[in-house]
Amino acid sequence: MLRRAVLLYIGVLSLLCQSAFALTDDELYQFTPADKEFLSQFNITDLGALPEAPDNKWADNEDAANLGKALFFDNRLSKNQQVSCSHCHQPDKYFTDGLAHSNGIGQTRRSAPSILGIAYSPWMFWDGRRDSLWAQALGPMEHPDEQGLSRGELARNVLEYYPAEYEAIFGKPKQPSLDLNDISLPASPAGSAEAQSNWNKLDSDEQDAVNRIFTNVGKALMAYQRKLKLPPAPFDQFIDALNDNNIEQAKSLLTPSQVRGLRLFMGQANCSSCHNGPLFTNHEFHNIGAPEANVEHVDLGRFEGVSLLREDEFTCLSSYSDASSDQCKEMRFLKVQGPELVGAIKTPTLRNVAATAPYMQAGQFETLQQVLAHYNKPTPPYYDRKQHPSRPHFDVLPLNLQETDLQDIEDFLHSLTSPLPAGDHWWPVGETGSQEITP
Amino acid sequence: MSTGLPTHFFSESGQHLRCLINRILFGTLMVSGLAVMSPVASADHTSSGDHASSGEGHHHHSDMPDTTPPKGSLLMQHAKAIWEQAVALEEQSGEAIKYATTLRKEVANLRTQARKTKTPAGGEKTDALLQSTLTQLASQVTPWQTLAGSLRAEAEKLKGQSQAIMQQGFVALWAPWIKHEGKLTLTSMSGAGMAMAHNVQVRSISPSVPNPTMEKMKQEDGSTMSLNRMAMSSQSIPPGLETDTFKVSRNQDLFGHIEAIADDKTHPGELPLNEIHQWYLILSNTEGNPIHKAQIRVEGHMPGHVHGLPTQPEIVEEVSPGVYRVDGVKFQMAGWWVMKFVIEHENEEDSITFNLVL
Repeated sequence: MLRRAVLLYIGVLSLLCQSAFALTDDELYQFTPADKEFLSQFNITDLGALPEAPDNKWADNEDAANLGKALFFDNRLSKNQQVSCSHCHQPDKYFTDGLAHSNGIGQTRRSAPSILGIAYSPWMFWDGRRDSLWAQALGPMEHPDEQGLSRGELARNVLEYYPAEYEAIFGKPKQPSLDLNDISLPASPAGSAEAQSNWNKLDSDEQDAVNRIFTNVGKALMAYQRKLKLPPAPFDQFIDALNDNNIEQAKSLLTPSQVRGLRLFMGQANCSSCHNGPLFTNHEFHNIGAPEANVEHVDLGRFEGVSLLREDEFTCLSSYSDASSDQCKEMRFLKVQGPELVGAIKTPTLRNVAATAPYMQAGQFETLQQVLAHYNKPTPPYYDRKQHPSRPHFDVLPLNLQETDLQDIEDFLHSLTSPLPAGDHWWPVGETGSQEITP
Repeated sequence: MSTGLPTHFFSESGQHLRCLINRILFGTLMVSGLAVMSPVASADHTSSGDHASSGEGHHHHSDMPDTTPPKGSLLMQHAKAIWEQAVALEEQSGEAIKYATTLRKEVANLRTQARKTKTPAGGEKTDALLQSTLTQLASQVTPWQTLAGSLRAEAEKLKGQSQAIMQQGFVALWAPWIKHEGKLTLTSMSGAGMAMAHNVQVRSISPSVPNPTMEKMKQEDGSTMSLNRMAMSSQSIPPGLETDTFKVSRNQDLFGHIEAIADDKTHPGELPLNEIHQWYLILSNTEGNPIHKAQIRVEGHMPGHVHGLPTQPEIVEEVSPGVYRVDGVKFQMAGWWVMKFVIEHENEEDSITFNLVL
């Protein structure tokens, strides 16, 4: 009876207490079989095979991946010959640049997200405006603030710098009448007035030939990015240790504060309701009410992404995709309406989050502490009826956690940082690993 | 009619009181004038329910080789008849509850009024009489509420019976297409455990509003997990929510059945999480004839949250008369989902709604 009363008392106490169970250090590390099974779903080693990519025949082609890697680090593929993909997706920084707004030729509107694990996402960019990694790669190439090239220039440059590699993978360009040295550049339907005018001078076969090379460049870059693998982080090793019933090892991997943070992350703080799976993301779009980065030009997020997708010339359904329309169901059944699209931003991975500040799509928060403070007492999304089609959806609730709880969660997030790999052909790190190609 | 109260009771100031009492008594007579509202009538309905359930025996007779319509059609017609009875009972239940509510409010009003009305000198006797009348009136509230409740329960029972018979009708008429008659569930394949709902509850929250998700959060499997997890209870799924895959349309003119098309990764009745998949929607009229060439729109949402489906599913073809292939269906989380098919057929618009608890 007494024991029951004590248990009841403890139960009432824990209900009254807003923070995590006041577990002793030893109890903290006690996980039941069901806990472990649940946690294992977050283990990076459970990531599984890459999703099939019927829209890119070369998605798993080794040569394409190697060409893609060279292209990724090639500064010559930019207007000023100084900006490659790796300029903003730096291997040493987990393929980010540590900036709120990236610096390409100009400054970007949003922050460069990490590309680690991106091959598992059905939608690219913060607003999901592209439906494949190959189509995504084409955006920055032509963006005036990023690499600033026209697709005509890019096609010519790639064939000039990588003629053998390109031909070995994709074959000879099919349009014999097209001499890329002969056409007026820049040429693109999406660039400056000059680029558009030059583009319109090409006949449709020539335009198609340029687009073919352009999209093949994207497909090689996609093949490369599919090669990037995350080494296990302390968190993953901790789960392995738990599954091996090696508590001593588990204790050496995560501190008591980190384990409290882990428990909060999975439970009371609700982080895992969107940040779940081995990549800590559900690949969905949500509006968490992060401060509006630019109230003059609000971020419509997925709402805008969907409308761009509908006009996009390089989707899974396009003639540049290798998939049949039956294999493009995400596009065919694209959700185009709904208040939840307004201002909704893709859930980012939390892998390496402690090493990839700043946070949110435009670096609105500089530190994890600020991020967690926002989740604890979120502000509703900024609403401007002149700019928003409807009041933005608001996807989070206040957590009302204590400062110490937030600190524990922050500590836990540090356990998601993988060590930078050594000797990984695809993820070159450090000075010696620099793969940059400059003119 | 006499109120049973001494006429001199009503002073000038008591006019309103008398008016109210008259309304109540008049109302009582009006309602009890409806045969269905009397307790005796209620008993009649119970017996009609018994008749309905014994109706299955009747169908065995219809199997006799003669000129009667096919078994499936008869089953559908029978289901329709029972459904109509259920709807009639529901309406009566609604009337009863409305009456009980009016009665309760009026008694309360009268009591307030009586308190405010000064008792005339020597009026203690009438006062007592008034009080006893009011008590008597008040005592009628509960029986009416009980009657409403039992009528509703009876209606629910009949609806269940109707759906069971409709199900037999569908199976008799569309046997090759129906692989699963039970509820739809998420596939047990790995990943389903990840199907946590995110914590959307309301559009905006004031700091003073307690967070319902957090309050209700419990260990999902308390005996085996030490981790706290988001509880599905936070989605306020109504207890006993009906999740049948055989349903009657809003206008009661159509019957519908949904069938998840199994592939090499799922079994019949199982839905994959986070993957686009296909359904069949089978539509019949209440005679058991297929609804052919209907224009159908698919809508869906999560009532516990404030969001719709992650995709926009569509009808892609009518594979056989009345059998429509739905493509683009996707669920990205566990919980209560509502799928609604808005059906336009021969210039009539109707809809069928299915609840899913995944």
